[in-house]
Amino acid sequence: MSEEQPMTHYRVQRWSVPAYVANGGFALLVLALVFVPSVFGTFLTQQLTSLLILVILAAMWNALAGFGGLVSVGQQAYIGLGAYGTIYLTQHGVAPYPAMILAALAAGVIALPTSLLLLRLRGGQFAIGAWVVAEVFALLVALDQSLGGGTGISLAALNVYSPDRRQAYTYWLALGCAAVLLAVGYLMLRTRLGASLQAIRDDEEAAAAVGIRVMSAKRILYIFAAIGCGAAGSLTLANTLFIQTQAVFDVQWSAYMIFMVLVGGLGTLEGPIVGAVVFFLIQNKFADYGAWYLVGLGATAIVFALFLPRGLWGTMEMRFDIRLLPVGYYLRRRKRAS
Amino acid sequence: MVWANAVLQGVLLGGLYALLACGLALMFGVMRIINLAHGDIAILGAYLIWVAVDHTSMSPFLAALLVLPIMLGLGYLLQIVLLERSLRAGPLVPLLTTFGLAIAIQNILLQVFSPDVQSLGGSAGDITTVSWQINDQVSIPGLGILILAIAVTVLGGLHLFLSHTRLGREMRATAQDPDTAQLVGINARDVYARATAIAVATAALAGLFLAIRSVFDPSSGPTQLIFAFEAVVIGGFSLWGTLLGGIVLGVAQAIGAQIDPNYSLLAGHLVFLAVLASPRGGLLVSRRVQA
Amino acid sequence: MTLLAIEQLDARHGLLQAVRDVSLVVDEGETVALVGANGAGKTTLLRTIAGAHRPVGGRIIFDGADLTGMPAHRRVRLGIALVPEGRRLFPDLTVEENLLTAIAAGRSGPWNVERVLEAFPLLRPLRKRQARLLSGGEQQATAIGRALMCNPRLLLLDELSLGLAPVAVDAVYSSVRSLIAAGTTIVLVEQDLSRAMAVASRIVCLLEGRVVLAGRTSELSRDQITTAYFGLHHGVGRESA
Repeated sequence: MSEEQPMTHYRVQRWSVPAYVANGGFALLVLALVFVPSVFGTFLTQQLTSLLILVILAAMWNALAGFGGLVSVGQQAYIGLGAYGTIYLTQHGVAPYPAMILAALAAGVIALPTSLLLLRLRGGQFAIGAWVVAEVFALLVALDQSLGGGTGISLAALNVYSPDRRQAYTYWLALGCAAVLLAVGYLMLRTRLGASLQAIRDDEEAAAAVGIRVMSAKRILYIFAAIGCGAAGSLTLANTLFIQTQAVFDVQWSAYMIFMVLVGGLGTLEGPIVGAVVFFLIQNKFADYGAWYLVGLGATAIVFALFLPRGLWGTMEMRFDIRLLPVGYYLRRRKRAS
Repeated sequence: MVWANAVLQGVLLGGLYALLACGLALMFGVMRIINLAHGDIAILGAYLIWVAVDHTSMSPFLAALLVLPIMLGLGYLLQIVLLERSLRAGPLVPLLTTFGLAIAIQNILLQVFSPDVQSLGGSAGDITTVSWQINDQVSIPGLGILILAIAVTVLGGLHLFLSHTRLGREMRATAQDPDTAQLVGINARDVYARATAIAVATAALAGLFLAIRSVFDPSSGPTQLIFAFEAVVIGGFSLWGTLLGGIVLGVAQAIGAQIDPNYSLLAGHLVFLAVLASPRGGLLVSRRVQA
Repeated sequence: MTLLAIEQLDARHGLLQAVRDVSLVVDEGETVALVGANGAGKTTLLRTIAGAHRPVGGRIIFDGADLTGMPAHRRVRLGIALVPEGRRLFPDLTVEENLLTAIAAGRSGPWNVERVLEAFPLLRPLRKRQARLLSGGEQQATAIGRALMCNPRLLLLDELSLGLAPVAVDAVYSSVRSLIAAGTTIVLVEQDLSRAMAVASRIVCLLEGRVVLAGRTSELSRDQITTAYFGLHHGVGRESA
């Protein structure tokens, strides 16, 4: 080596200006959303509640598939458990809103033994295995006549509130759940667990070989997603006041989740939110087309999976190199004259 | 004696499940794809046969002879157009695309054929009514025997095909190592497409017998997929295993139904979960399908 | 007569450029040995010729036809057979079935199962044994036999001696010599310089993806090759492995 090269310094950095702005912006957005029920009518509040539920569902499915490599078509199991858990608890004297939170946590408790079975499976086997579990839960719930059998049941306990109060409370709970779940997911990914999970997603065997506890990392994720889907289930019940086993345990929920995450951007934190908003708009516009609307959803999911695997948000991130909710790090090079 | 009859009916039902499952096992064995649209493809086959029967009032068996080649072609196209690209895109993508396909097929069927329940039982002729009465509690239905015989024939045929023909050998070689298969002159793309074609055709055959044996509607597919998958897992992911798995599942459901009709499906699922929970369960799922 | 011509070939593994601007001509009946350190790009070059690896630039011409972009299985049908590094047999197929897979190449010629068993007598009693139960030497014999079953015009041999006991290497190389004697065109990759020089009529030395030395074996000295092998003429301090 004859000539002296200028020294290159690297700086490891997680935060960027847009990321500071975005994190602050998210906090402000949540704050602003708190005032929706007092400013807008019950109808809009109900609509936004459904949107928040969709955001939760998309974020949970994304946590499983995008960060753990676990493609599930059985998360409706926990949506159903959350909803029926709420019914069960209110029938046993628990006040409806605390019952909703307890039911979501109960879904997480049930997910623990279930995970012992399901996480033995990989890839497509896990996907259908999770579906079978959802079917089993649905059949068990339908057997219990006190839960309305197969015909459905309404959340009578909520009738103590006036309709607009009820809607406002449900909305606030949905907002709280969405904010907490997204924040927990965000923070979880920024810890060591997040790095482990992404290593597992990329190569499970290699991850195990470098000492990552693959099973426990997946289990944490699975239980987290179960709690989130349980919350979504109990919120759906409170938002519509009536549920039926077939509908609440329907595999269609999985179709919706997959659609939202694929369209928004698998493996990003922002993507599922984008996907949920897109899905919400499409649903309002095209749901009247019935079966053709669902054909379109299936076809769109295929197109995104094949041709735009990063989804809308992921493609934008690539294009403009922005991370609004950073979980990784940038390696910035600064050149210095020697 | 009612229990003996339940077991017997379960065994015969197992033939149908084996027929449903063998295509799923074949695709998993050759390409490591779990086709989430498998059940809906079976129902699509049933509808195509139903259309032919409805328009010409021919026997459903004759109609199946016309539809099966179409299904072979559709299967080949499915691989070339959709699955091949999915496989290249990563291990999770085939799941997402086949699930999207499942939703699309179900809803196209719903749009075209309405949600009404259909059956081919009425047009299948005497076979649906023939049975041998053993005593007042046990009778052997001719249709059940026929389905079981067809299932054994299809599995045996697949076994002979895989172990004794050139194409079968190429399929096994490609399943084990697609890159190397190309290096000895095997067109892996073509082999994959043939495997999917066979799987789709066997699914349609299962759809035919499902439609003759009972009823179907556009949303019947997912349940069939689950039964097929359970049979594959219980049977240990081998081709002949699907027969065993199908029979175990059928017997579990029949015994469950004998206790209480509500327990039929539940009993099947519980056997599946029990197999998964057994020490063998963890081993089973990592094995590759063998002829 | 030129059988294979490689023109300015570039091949990559992601960001790593494994083969840089390689040009090479192989005449019919020749035995060319590619030598070089680990990571020099020998295996990638062979795999690119066979079609198992897609190049990013350059051309591959075989018997006058441009192969660039042609899938591997069609190249086999034109007569290019690769014995891949690590044998890569189909583990659950028997020895005989492994050999028979090569029928897919659709090339008639002198080689059939019987001929292969004659050339590799050790395989005869193992015909019905699954490939994964074979020893390394037996596997290598089967892998060569499988490539011969394609009745190739050009045989590509990648690291035949890798992982084999010395006795097995001798056996494998004595069969390679008889192939050479029969006039088969061979390009082989070999780590062991002595072995390469003993069988090859020409030596091509690669360093960091480039051809740094090429010539007739008879006209090259061992020192010349060793120097090129380690890239010593590139100046001090350059790492090659």
